[in-house]
Amino acid sequence: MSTRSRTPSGELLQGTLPLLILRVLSSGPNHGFAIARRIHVVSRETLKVEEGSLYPALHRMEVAGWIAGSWGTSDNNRRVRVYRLTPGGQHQLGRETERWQAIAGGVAAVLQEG
Amino acid sequence: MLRFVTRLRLRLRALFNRRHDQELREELEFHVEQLAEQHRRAGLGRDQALAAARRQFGNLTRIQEQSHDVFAFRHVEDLLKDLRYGVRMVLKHPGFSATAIMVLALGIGANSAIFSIINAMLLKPLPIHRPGELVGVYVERTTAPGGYRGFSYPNFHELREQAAAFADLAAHNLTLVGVGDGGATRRVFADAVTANYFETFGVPLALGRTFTAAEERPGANLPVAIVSHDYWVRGGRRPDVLGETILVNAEPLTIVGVAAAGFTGSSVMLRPEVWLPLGLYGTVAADVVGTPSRSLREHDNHTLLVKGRLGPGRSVESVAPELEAIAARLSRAYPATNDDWTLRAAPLPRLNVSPMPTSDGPFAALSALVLGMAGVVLLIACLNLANMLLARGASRRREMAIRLSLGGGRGRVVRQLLTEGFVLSVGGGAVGLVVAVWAAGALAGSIESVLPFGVAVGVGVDWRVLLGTLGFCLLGTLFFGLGPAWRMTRGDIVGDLKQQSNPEPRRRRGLPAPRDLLIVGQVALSLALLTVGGLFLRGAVAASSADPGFAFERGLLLETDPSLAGYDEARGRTVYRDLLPRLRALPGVDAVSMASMVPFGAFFESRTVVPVGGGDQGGRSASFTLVADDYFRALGLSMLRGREFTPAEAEGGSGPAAVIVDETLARALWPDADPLGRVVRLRQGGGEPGDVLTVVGVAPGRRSQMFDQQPTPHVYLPAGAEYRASMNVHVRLAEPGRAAANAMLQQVRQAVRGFDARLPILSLRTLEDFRAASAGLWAVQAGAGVFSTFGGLALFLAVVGLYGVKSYAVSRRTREIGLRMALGAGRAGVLWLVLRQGLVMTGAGLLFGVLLSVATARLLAGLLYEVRTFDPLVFALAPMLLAASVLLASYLPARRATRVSPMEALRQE
Repeated sequence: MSTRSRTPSGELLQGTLPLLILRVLSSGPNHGFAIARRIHVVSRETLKVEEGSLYPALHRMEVAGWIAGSWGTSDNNRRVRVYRLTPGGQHQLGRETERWQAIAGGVAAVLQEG
Repeated sequence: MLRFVTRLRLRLRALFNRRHDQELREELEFHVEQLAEQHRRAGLGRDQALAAARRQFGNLTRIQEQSHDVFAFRHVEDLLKDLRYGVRMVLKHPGFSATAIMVLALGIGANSAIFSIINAMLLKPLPIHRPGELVGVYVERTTAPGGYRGFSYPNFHELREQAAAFADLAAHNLTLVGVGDGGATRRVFADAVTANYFETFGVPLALGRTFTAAEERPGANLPVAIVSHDYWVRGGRRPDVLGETILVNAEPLTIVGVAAAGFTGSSVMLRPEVWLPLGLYGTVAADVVGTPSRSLREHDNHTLLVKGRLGPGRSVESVAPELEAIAARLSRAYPATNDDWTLRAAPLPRLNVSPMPTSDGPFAALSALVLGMAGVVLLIACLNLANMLLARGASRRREMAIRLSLGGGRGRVVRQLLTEGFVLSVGGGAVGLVVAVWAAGALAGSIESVLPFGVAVGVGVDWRVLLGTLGFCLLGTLFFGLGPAWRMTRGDIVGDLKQQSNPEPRRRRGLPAPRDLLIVGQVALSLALLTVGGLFLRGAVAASSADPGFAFERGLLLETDPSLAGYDEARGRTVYRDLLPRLRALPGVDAVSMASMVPFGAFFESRTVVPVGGGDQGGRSASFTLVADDYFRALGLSMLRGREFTPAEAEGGSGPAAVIVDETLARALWPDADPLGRVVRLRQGGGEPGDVLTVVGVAPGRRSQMFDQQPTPHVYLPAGAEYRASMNVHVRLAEPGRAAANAMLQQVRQAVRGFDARLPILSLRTLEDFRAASAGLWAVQAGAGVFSTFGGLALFLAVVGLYGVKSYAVSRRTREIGLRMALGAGRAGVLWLVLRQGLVMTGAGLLFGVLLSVATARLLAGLLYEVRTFDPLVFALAPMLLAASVLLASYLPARRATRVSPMEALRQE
């Protein structure tokens, strides 16, 4: 079946993957494996990116125009697909970050008061 | 936008570029290798590391496909695949496909033909810059809303000076003129226009210049003209056409410009061949009906039509206050002519040029109705095809079952079947479009030939017609394809795979099979269309012999117009005074007279007749005709009371003014009194009542227009009372018969030529030929043509459909029939066996069809010409014709069944 959701932003937790990818790419272009590694490391190993969902997400984001992929060379001289943030993606990162913070803040508030 | 392009590019790449898949693969492989590298560093062996990495990554192909889907137009890919398959299937069954395409071509073609006419009339934009900004400005009576008149030039002039809400305001006066063409004179439309006319439409000329303000000034009389693009093309597209002369009403005018290709002003159909500056109005150009032109400077010469371009941000509604204010100022300044009149703006119609705001709505409604009828033809074609598909579906059950059992989703298979149907539709649409273009062209050509001046309907294929046809194809596909596809993909996969010889799906007793319902629908719809076609045909027959209250036989009609030869009023009066006696002197002529209007002709005038003292003081509107002496005798009529006009009256200027009314008007004005000797005044439009007139005769009642249900009121004035350049000379022959008429036509022509070779003979024919070429009759006959074609198509489709289904049924029952015959069934028995099946359905179809016919006939009652809505002849014949055809369609296959040889039939399986 083809995937119906065209925008990477969806349900709360599922929707966080594009946000994380955008954030990682905002500090410089990178390839898929490195993006996954970086999310894993930076989140102090609490977040683990499913390989099975990483690439479809990357490709959806590319079609959406938030990131752009091009072929480059890796450290060990292998051909590798490198993604960088587009201006549209930059904008989206801002929006998604805001959205996430609002949700996180809301959830935190309920947890404390409720 | 840019993002859209990027997306499209990425997707197209995925669709067509095989390398894209490899790149996806490569990207994923790289990830796996990196994972493996990680594991190796953690201490695993090379192979183990790779295996772990693969496990961790999951199904590489699945992820790759997911990613592929992100990029690709999955649907487009499927569609292309389906299309390829569809085309293959269509080619594989050429017989079936050809039949289907023919059936669809008829259904789609009927719709495309009607649509291309609607497109030409209502949809195709006129070559006008921003047509939405262009509006008509109208002069409306405040005391009687709905009463309108044209603009006088002084009124228009002040409006143009004062109205700030308009970017531009132009006035024009459409008229007929004679254009010299070699030795002969052609009558064409001309438009006398203001200097800014072309600018207001925003359409620059193809060549040359527009008119100047000096040329526009009333009475300026500067001899210049702008010709149509068609005129220029006919002359060979010479650039030096500028500076040449064109003879308009025998007046040489210098051509200063060539209008843009296709420019006609605001009207779709009326095509002026020449534009004149308003300054020529009154000398070269007159009014449409040939009234002698009065000066444009006069305040009560309400002859101009005004069109304006709204200023930026203005709408028809928002200019109303300003127009009302200007109207109020005008009425203070010119109370005599402008009291009780206001100004209003309204959208311009495409189909009419009139001082009254009209809408194209009625035509649009009519178009929708006709298109609806064409839609029914398509519906019948679709039912037909659905039946064919169902029949064939039985033989494709196995294929469907395989597809379904191999995991093809039902939606997917339905889509495949629909695509196959669409391929057929497009084939049918292509053939249909060719037929449609031909049919619409013929229809348009016939109206152009009926009207003797520049009228054209540009039917032709443009993107709208193509899109419309594609729409009909899609609609058709859904109609005929969805049901069978749904049905074919349902059901018992295992049984179908085994394909045991139980071909018919079991169904509950008592419920009619879909196939039977399709037959009921087809028969019913066909009957409705057939009935409607019959009613219209009856109307056409009635119309072709319709008479206005006197027989058309023994009458000849000569249309002429001395003004086209450049004769002024005095000369024109002399021409008519001398011409009639010349014709009367011809041997074989019984009577000669002339009139400003011909019954059932294209033009009409009306006046309000106000009785002086006693009778209906409000007055009655009546058809107004100027006639010479001997007029009624020339039509083969005799006066009911009193007398005709005397030659002296007809010439005008002598004695007390006389008027003739007809019995219809007399009855309306003086129900109980003798009309003879009564006194009336005539009022024209919103003007003042004219001189006192005495009724000297009462004529028999008659109809002016073909579509009048009853005789309408008529009032006649002596020809001399008002000069009309354009007149119709009636010649009544002593002898009846075609040969006498033909001989006399020759003599009349020679007599006119001998009398004055410059006098244009605009037409000379028998009254019967005149009626045969009238627009009214054309409309009735065109309607009959269209609707009887629909009826004929419906009948044909129903017969073909039923024949096909029956033949198929017989072929499937060959074994059974053979068995029965082997067991001793007679031929008659077998015949009945086959005929019986579906007989009930046909009967039911006929019954519903009659009901549907009644409803349709009611819907179309307003369009019928002198036929009762429930004409017994049509309502009896149509079902009989359909029943007979259906019976024949069933009988042929049934007879084939009786020839089945039992031995062969039994050996078959």
